[in-house]
Amino acid sequence: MTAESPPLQELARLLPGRVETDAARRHCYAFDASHYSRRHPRAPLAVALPAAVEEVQALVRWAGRHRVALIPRGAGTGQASGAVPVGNAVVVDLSGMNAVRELNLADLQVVVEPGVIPEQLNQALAPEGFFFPPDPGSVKMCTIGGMVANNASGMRAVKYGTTKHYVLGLEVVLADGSVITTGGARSRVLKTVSGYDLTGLFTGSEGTLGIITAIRLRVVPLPAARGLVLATFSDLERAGRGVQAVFRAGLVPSALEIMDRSALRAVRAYRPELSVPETEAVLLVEMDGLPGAVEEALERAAAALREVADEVSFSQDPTECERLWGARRALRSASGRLAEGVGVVTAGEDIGVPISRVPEALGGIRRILRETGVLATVYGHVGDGNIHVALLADTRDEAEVSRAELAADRLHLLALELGGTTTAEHGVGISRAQYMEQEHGPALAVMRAIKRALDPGGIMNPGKMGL
Amino acid sequence: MDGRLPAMALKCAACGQCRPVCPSFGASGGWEHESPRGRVLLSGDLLAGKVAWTPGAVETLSRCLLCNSCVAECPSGVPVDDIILEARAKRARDLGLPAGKRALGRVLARPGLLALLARTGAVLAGVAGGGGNRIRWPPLRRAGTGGRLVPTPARQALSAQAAPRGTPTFVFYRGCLIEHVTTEAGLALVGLARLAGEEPAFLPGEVCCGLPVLAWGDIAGFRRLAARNIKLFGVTDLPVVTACATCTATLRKYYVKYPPPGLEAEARELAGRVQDAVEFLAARELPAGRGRLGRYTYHQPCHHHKGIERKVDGSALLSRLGGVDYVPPSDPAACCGFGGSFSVDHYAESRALAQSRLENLLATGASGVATACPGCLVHLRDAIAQGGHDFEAVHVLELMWRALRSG
Ligand SMILES: Cc1cc2nc3c(=O)[nH]c(=O)nc-3n(C[C@H](O)[C@H](O)[C@H](O)COP(=O)(O)OP(=O)(O)OC[C@H]3O[C@@H](n4cnc5c(N)ncnc54)[C@H](O)[C@@H]3O)c2cc1C
Ligand code: SF4
Ligand code: SF4
Repeated sequence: MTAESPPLQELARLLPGRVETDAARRHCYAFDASHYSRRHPRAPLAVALPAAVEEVQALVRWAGRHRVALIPRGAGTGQASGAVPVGNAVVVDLSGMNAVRELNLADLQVVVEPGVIPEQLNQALAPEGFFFPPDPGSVKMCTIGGMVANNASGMRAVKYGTTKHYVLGLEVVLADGSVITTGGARSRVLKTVSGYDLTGLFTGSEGTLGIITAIRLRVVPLPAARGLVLATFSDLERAGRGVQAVFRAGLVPSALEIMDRSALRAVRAYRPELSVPETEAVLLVEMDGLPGAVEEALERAAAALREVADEVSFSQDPTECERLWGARRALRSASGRLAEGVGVVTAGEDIGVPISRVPEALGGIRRILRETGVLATVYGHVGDGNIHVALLADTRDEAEVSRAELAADRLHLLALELGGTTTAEHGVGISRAQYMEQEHGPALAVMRAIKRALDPGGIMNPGKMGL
Repeated sequence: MDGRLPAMALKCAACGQCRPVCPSFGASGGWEHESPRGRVLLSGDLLAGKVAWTPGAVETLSRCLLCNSCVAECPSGVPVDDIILEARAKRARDLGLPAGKRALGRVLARPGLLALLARTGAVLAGVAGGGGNRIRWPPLRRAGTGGRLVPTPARQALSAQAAPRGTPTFVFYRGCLIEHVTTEAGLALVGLARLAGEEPAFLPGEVCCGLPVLAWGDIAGFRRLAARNIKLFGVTDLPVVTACATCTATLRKYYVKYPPPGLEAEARELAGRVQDAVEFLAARELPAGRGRLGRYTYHQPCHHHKGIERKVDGSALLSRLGGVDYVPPSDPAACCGFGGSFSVDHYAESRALAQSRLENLLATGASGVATACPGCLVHLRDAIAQGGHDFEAVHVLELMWRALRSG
């Protein structure tokens, strides 16, 4: 199909001025933040930038008529190739649908369009004393639609849970072009057990079941205070034991993050003014709540960590804490600063393991990196067992890239061996489709049946999730 | 071409963190190809020969303002500006430069011709144009609806207005706009410097800093202009002071990154000697202002703080002024949307960006905005006049000068 073919001309008439068929511009949509898409870039036939739910419906009907796949896309910050095309496909870029439809704080909820950026929502909520807690490292640039589609989470998941814990209802355009509202057609309640949990089904469905055009989200009061404990370790596995020490002290931290030696070096290269320590590993433990309670919790966390750590320090200065978190969030991209000529190979980056096995996982990761000879930073939301590994390679060097890919595969298998998951938050997409069978067994057949029931023509983000 | 550049594009982790800060992405309504990430990945593949030129690629690359908001934001340290400049250079090589750009390049290299054209108003209006937008000349006061309002050029060039007095202690590099258009800012610097016991020298024969030429991909043309200025300022070891954020950034950063062949060391030496007027005055004693000028906010030019090593903050001068109440804007880093030839080639977007910048500045409740780049100044004045606001845009130097002389 070319720009001149009748179906694409029809498409261009559906959304005047908001369908792109220029080859170079389509090329920009061959990528998300994954390694796979950099290695195998495939441009879509066209890109559409809808502004309203009716336009999304028209797009879906058009796709059904012409048997063209649709690839929903938010900010393209996904790391699993979820938002890039497979086969004959049109990308539906939802970045332009970015209105906050309702700020209903009396009912502790908001209704947003999928293109709203979570940080921007939080900026609107902060003066009212509320926030939307899930905070992926991409909180400044991803979309809430993408977060829902991937069930994203972040540093605060250890206390506040993942995106699904905040999704009260969804407006979804289905594969036949109809629109449904999940969680009750007109509902503004905070809980319901009426009917199947369709909200839960679409949350984390990675665009394979429908296109999300509005999201009703629960928001919660902002904590009055936050504080941070920083513990340093001269041994990586010992840092893993620090995680359990915090929980045994009876604490629920609002974030519990780990950074290894290389990750610390990358942070130093990115933000030298933060003067992060040079050591094997650090744990960052955040406590939030009422000021007095935070102070006490910080002291308890520090006491617990002193048992296993080399040094423990703390801060309650909000700007200092925010700067440290800012550097931590940017760590994935900042990892590329570790050496000249290397880039991040986003693969095998998101394993999760039971927290009792975090020390073992950290040891296993080190072994894999040593054996494959791959440079990497290791960091992550270790408080819920989620460990990120940013593999680095000179991406022009085939041998280096193959070694990184081998390391990624071994990391995934390590996670499964330890009773973990190949992806704790980033999603399956294309990058991890090959592990679905192994990770889910017969449950995968049920997922496929659901997919067939809702999308018999297979036009919704095909080729993803091993469906 | 610099062989490292496709490699620099590979550094891009495709994280998308640069998307929300990019003014042209914002103005586009959300197209990935109008984002820094889109431009970097596209440029990298254009440079590597993996993607062919299309009308869309040319247009997309031309929509970058080179504001460096993305460079300041990027955690991976991707030099987005260099990558885009190299892609534009490739476009110039592969497809040629538009005739208008070639002609303007020749004008900027010849101070006499530039002066003549500035007088007749042809520079911004005609030669750079061809973008189809209506520029009316000479208006700001007279032009009515729709069209862009550009300032009347000064009747006399700055260097002709300020007679030398005694032995110079610094070289005043005026650049095109300070010399021919916003000369009041230049006169203010002369006055302020003299109060601080300094005397400017105007070296005849200086040419445009070259950024416009570099920006449209004529690297050889840029190097020729740079060579003229580097050699000219090489005759002295006095500090070279500019009153334009863009000139400061160009002389310090791009002369070193794109040095004329054989003048690499001289380019570095000059870069070390260049001072922005803001820095020059911040380091000097000045009498306290007597008059009360009211509330002013400050627009930080992108070229003063994004993607450069030595950052400059002119708002510090405002706070130092006795007679001015300084109110910071809620968004201190937003771009005004000028972007040099961007504002000529894409006036509608450029103007929309200026309007949103202006709204943020108006929200401070100040009676005016000071800034330190004549480009931002001219552009904000257009937006103010178009919107009919009772609000002033003024060069921070001029405001200081006013504060010191009034009362
Ligand atoms: C630096 C960095 C840090 C990150 N940190 C984290 C982290 O800490 N935690 C985490 O969970 N993730 C993280 N991510 C991954 C990613 O940012 C999140 O998954 C994010 O929520 C994706 O949002 P997006 O808008 O970019 O979605 P995209 O990448 O555009 O799309 C992701 C998937 O969602 C689908 N989709 C998008 N919008 C819709 C819609 N409206 N309807 C239906 N389907 C849709 C797409 O088809 C695709 O399958 C990080 C990414 C980066 C680059
Ligand atoms: S330099 Fe400015 S306009 Fe150009 S891509 Fe970067 S942020 Fe966008
Ligand atoms: S240029 Fe930098 S900020 Fe932008 S996508 Fe690439 S790595 Fe991320």
